[in-house]
Amino acid sequence: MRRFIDFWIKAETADKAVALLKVVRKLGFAGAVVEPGESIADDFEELKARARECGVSIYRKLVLKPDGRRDLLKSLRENRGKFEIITVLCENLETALVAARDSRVDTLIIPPRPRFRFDKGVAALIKNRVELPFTYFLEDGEAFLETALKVVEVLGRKIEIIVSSGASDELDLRGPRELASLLEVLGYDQQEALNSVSKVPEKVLETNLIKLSKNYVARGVIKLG
Amino acid sequence: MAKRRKKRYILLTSEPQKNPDHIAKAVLTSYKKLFGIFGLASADLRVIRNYPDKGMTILRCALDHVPRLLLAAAFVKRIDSEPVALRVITISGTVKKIKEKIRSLQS
Repeated sequence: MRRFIDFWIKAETADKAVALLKVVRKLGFAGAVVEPGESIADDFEELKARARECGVSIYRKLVLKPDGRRDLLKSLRENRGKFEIITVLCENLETALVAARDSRVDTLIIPPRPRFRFDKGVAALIKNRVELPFTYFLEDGEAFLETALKVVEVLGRKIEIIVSSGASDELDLRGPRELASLLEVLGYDQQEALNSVSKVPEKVLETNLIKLSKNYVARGVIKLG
Repeated sequence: MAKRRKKRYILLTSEPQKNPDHIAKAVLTSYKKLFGIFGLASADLRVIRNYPDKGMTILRCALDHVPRLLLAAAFVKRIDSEPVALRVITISGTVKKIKEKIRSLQS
């Protein structure tokens, strides 16, 4: 059976996070990746316990909006060990090219109508996954679809795509089938589209949880026993 | 002989609860906005039944247009100028199953 995961929820306070997680559970998700606000960043373990009571597993996410290459590399160095998921919002080509190749980055977000061209050049370099937040679609459907179509056309066959809600309010949350329907409309088959809200995010989390565990030594090396 | 097109029935509700007539209208408008008049015509979209007391509506559409309908429903942000979110409760091939689902939600 599929285990659906919402890959991006923004929560400023613990109470807001719990309210969001209750809706997430009701919608059929088993897990959520939360971008915690400053007030709950330190008490994330407590929030994790409250989420478990709601029936949802949560993971910590950091969304970086770097100005350039140096800024991105510095932030990655400082934060990689603290967060299960790191996403880079690519606002220029320089950061997009670095984020596309760096193994410390989990997903890239290309904003609607970016001020740079992503074409075969980016496609040739990219190793990480691309994330499509549904809130962008709710904010400006036309611009988002234009970019999403290009992402699918240029990068979609080479890398995996994750669809997340990107919600900070209960009314911005959508169910897994609704999120997956975006990729179905863009030309994916049903199973592939459903993977974008289940198997693909699960695989990323699994890999990162191993990396963050105490038994991890180096890439491909794990301490047993 | 031409094959009959397969259909799917979709049970929708809104959060917060709204008049089902308005929910159905919002979905049709959203569908038209996203896929145009041709898309709307080929989807064979119909309102089958409304449940005003429960705030639910049953829509019918062609099987191959279900993802489009789900996206159109997810794209609805406002009804009567109030923020809402439409929730798909179930999708089925028969109205009977949908009615069973509504009964199970009541009990």
